[in-house]
Amino acid sequence: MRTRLFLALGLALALGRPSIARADGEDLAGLLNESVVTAASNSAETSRDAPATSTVITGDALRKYGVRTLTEALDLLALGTMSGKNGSGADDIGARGVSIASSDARHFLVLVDGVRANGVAFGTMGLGRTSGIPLEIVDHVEVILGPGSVLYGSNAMLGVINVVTKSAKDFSGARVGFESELLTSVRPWAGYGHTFELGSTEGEVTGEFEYFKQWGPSLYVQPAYGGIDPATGNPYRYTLSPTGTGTWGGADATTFSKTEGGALTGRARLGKFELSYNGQIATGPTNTVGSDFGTDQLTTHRRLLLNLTYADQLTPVMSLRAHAYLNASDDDTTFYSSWEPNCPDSSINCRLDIIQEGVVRGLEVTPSVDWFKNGTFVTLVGGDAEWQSARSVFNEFNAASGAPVLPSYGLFDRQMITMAAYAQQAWNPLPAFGLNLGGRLDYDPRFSPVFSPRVAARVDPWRGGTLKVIYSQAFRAPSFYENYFSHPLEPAAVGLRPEYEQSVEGSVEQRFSAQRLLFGVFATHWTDLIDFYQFTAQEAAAYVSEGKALLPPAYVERNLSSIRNWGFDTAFDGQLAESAIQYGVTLTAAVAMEQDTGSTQATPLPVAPRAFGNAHLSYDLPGDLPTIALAVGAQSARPFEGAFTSGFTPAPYAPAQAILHATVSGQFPAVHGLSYRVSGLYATADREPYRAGPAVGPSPQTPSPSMVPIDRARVLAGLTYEF
Amino acid sequence: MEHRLPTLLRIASLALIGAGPCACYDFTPITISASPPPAAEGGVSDAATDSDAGPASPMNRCLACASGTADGGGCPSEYSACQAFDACRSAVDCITNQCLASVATAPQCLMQCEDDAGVSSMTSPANGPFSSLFQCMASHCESACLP
Amino acid sequence: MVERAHKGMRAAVAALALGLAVTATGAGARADSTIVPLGLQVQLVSKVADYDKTLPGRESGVVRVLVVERAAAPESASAAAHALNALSNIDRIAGLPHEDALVEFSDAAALASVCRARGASILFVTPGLADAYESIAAALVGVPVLSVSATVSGVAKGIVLGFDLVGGKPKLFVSLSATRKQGVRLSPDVLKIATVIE
Repeated sequence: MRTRLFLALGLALALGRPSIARADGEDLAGLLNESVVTAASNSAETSRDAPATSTVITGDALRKYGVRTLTEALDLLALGTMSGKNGSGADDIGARGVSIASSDARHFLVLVDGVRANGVAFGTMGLGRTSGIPLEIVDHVEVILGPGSVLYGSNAMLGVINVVTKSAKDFSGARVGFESELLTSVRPWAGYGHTFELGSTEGEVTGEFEYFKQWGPSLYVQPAYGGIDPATGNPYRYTLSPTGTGTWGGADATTFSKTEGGALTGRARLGKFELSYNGQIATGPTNTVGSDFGTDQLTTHRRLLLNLTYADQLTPVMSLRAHAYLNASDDDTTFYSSWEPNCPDSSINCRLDIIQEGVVRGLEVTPSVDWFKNGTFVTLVGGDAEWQSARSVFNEFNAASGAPVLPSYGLFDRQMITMAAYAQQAWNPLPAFGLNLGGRLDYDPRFSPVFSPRVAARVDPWRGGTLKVIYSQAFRAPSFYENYFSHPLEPAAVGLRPEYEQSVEGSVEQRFSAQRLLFGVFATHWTDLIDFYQFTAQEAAAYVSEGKALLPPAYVERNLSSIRNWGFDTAFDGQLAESAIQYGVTLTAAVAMEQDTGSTQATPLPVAPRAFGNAHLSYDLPGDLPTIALAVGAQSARPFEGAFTSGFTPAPYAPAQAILHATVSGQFPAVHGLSYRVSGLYATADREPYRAGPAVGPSPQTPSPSMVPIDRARVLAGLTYEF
Repeated sequence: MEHRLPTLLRIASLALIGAGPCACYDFTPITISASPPPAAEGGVSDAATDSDAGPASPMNRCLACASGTADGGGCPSEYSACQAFDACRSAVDCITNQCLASVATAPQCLMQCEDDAGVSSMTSPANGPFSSLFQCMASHCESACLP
Repeated sequence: MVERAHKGMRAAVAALALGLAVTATGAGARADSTIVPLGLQVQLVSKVADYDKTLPGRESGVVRVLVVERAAAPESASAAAHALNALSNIDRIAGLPHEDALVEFSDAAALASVCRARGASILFVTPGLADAYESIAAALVGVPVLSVSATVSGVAKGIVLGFDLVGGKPKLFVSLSATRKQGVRLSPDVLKIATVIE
C-alpha cells in the first residue's frame, strides 16, 4: 500500500501532472457538502485542504437542533470537543480528552468575526448563556482542533473557535423573535440586515440584539457538613441567618440559575473596510464554592469588541489585510460568605465585591504574496502589536452595615506592550499534495520570547481520500490575574512562565459523494501548567526568612504540572436525499495523565472524560411539513476535580452523561414569514464533576463531595417573524 | 489604485486604538480609618505605652512605625484593625517584645507568637487583620522593626 | 478585445467556452469568508456543466472555457490565474475534453461576439467586473453560454450561475430568467439543489 502511494506520488511529480485529479473524483453532492474554513491558515480553503482537523457548525444546524449556546453546539455538533460547568458558573471547554478544571475555556482561542474575544485579565471566554453572541446572526462556527499559536499566539492550545456572523445578504430585512425555556427563561431578540450602494461602493450593515433573563429552575445540591467553626465554637452558618447548622447545600432556590443580560452584535461594511462590533452586559452565577448557600453570587460582565478591517488585493500577486481592534471587558463579582478565609469574622456575614478590568488595543497587518498568481506557492507574513492593560481590586464589607471589614487587597494596575511576528508558507504543487510550514514569535515583557511552529503535510493518494500529518506547538501566556494577584495568604507569583504544548496528529479521511469518514490519532504533551502550589510549613518559613513576606504564605501560583495525552477521534457524517437528511456521528477516546513537576506519579486528569462524542440526525420533511432533528452529546464518567487529592475514597466521579435534544422546527404555512422551533432537552446525569460548596475533603457526615447540579429537563419554544 | 485611508476612517481607527472601557467601576483601594487602640485588658502589656521602654528601643521603633505615630506613614489603619481583636493584639505584643532582637531567630519566634496567640489558623477571625498588618509592615516598617 | 490563448496542460486540446466568475482567495479569518475558494468553484462548475442540456461543445466533442479578466483590476487578474490553474487540473468537463482561454474585457458586446465566434460553452466573469454584470447579461441574450459569477450579486444581475458560502458551505444560485434569455436548459436535478432566483 505504501509502495503504491509513493509510486503514484513520484509518477505524478515526474510528469508534472497528478495521476489522480481530485476534481474528477467528486460528484456535485459531495462538492456541495465540502466545508470551507478560514481560521486554520488565515485563508479560505476546504477543510480537507486545511492544515488541521476541523468542524464547521452551520447556523442552520444551530437552529434546527435546538442549540441554545455555543457550548451546546460544541457538545452536540463538533468533533473532539466537550464541556463541563464548573464551580464558578462558567463552562470549561476541553478537546481530545484534555479538559483543565476551572479553565473557563482559556485554552481555546475564541474569535468573533476575526477579533480575539478572550478577556485579557483572566484569558477566559464564556461560551454559555453569557457569551454575548446571539445565535440567529451566526453564519457558522469553525472549530479548528489542535494548536493554533502559529498564527494566533496565546491561548490557542486546544484549538481555535471562529464565530462568523452572517452577511447582510443572508440576514436581510428585519426580523424579531421570542424564545423561552418554559417557566424558567425568556429571550426576545431583533435583527436587521441591509445592503446598499454609496456612490459606486457596495456596503452592508447587520445587527442583532437580544435580551435574556433566566430565573430558574431551582436545583438541589447534595449537602456537605462543614462542622464546628473554631472561631465561634458553633456550627458553621453558611447562610445569612444568625444561627448555623454546619451544613451547606440542600434544595436551593435559584442561585445556580439566575442570569440576565443583553447583547448586540453585527457588522458594517463599505467597500474594502469592515467594522464588526459586539457588546454585552450579562449577570450570572459565579461562585458556588466560596459563597453562603442560597445567597446571590453574581458576576456582572461587560464586554466590548470592535474590529476595523481593511482587506484588498493590491496587485495580482499581493494582497493585504490590516485590522485595528479593541477588546475591553470588566467584571464585578459579588457574593456573600460567612466563613474563613473569605470572611475574617465568622460572627458576621461578609459581602465580597471583586472588580476586574482588562483592555487590549491592537493592530495587526498581514500581507500575503501568491508568487505564481495561482495559489500554488503562497507566503503569508504578519505582525501584531498590542497594548494590554488590566486592573483589579478586592473589597470586603460587613453585609449588614456595609462597613469595610478589611483594607482592599488583590490590587494591581498594570500595562504592557506585546508584539508578534509570524510567517506561513503554503506550497501546493499538485492538487493531491500540499505542504504548510509556519511559525510565530511572540514577545511579552514578562518572559522570554516564545516560538510556535507548525508543519503540516497533506496527500490525496486515492480517489476521495486525504491523509494529513501535522506537528505543532502552542502556548498560553499567564493572565494578568495569575501574574499579579496577591493576598495576605497568597504572594504574587514570581517568574511565572507560559504553559506549553507540543502536538502531533495524523488523520485519514475518505469521501463517498456527500458522505465523509474520518479517523485520526493524536498525542500531546503539555508542560508548565499554572496552578496553585500549597506551601509546606518549612517552605512557608523559608519564604519569611528570605524576606519575601513577614507572614507565612499558604499558596502561590506556579508552573506546576504536565499532561501527556493520546487518543483517537473518528467521525462519519453526510447527507442523503438531496440534503433532506443530514446526519453525523463522532467519537473520541483519549487518555490524559497529569503529573506534578518533580513527582514520579501520574494521575488521570480530573474532569476529563476518556470517551465522548455526539450524534445528530435531521430530516426536512417535504412541503410545508417541519424539520425533525435529534442530537445527543455524551461523555463517559469524569473524575471529580479533587478526585485524587481531596482524600475522598474511592475517588469520586460524576456519572456518564448524555444530553439529548429533540427539535421540531419549520414555517407556519398560513402565515408568511413566521417560523417556530420547539425542543425537548434532557440530561441523563444530574451533576458535573466540580465541587459545589466549601467542603474540600471527606468527613463522617460528608463521605462524598457535593457537585455542581445540572438542570436535567427543559422544553424550549420559540417564534421568529421576518418582515 | 488609490489606497489612501479616508479621513473619517483614520479618525475612527485612532479612536479605536485609544479607546478603553467606560471607567465606571471605582478601583480606589479602601483603607480602614485609624482610631486609638482600645485599652488592653488582662495581662497583655502594651509595649507602646510602657514608660520603662525608651523611645529608641527596637520595640518602640517598630510599634511606632506600625501604629503610624512615627513621622506619619506606617500602617495606622491596619494597626487599628488589628487592635480590635484580642488575638491580634496578643500576637503583636509577643512579636515586638520577643522577636526583634535577632534576624536569625525572627522567623521561628514569629511563628511561635502567632501560634500562641491563635492568629495563624485560617479559621481565626484575627487572621485577616493580622495578615494585613504584617503585609503592610513588611513594606513600610522593615527598617524600623528588624535590626 | 485582446484575446490570449492559454493552453491546458493536456496534450489533447478540447474546445470549451466557459463563463465563470472567480474570486481571489481571501486572507484573514473574516475578510472574503463568504467567497467560495476558487478551486472548489471550478470543480462545481465542471459538475454543473454536466447538467446543462444545451451546453455548446457536446456536438463537437470539445468544451471551451473562457475566463474573462479586467487586467487593470488586481483581484480580477489574480482570480483569472487561479481559475486557469484550477481548470488545468480537471481532466474533463461534462465528460468531454476542454480548452481554456483567457479573454480580456473591453465591453460586453465584444465579449458576446467572442463567445459566439469561439463557440464558448462556459464564461467565467472574474471579480472587478461587477459593474459590467448587467451589460454582459444583456449582451448574452440568445447566446447559450453558461455564464457564471462567484457571488449572488452577479446572479441577481443576470448571470446564469453563481456561488456563495452560506454556513461555511458552498451554495449554487441560478437565475431562471437568465437561463431563459440565453437558452440555457439546466436539468431539474441541479435546480432542485440550487437556490433559484427569478
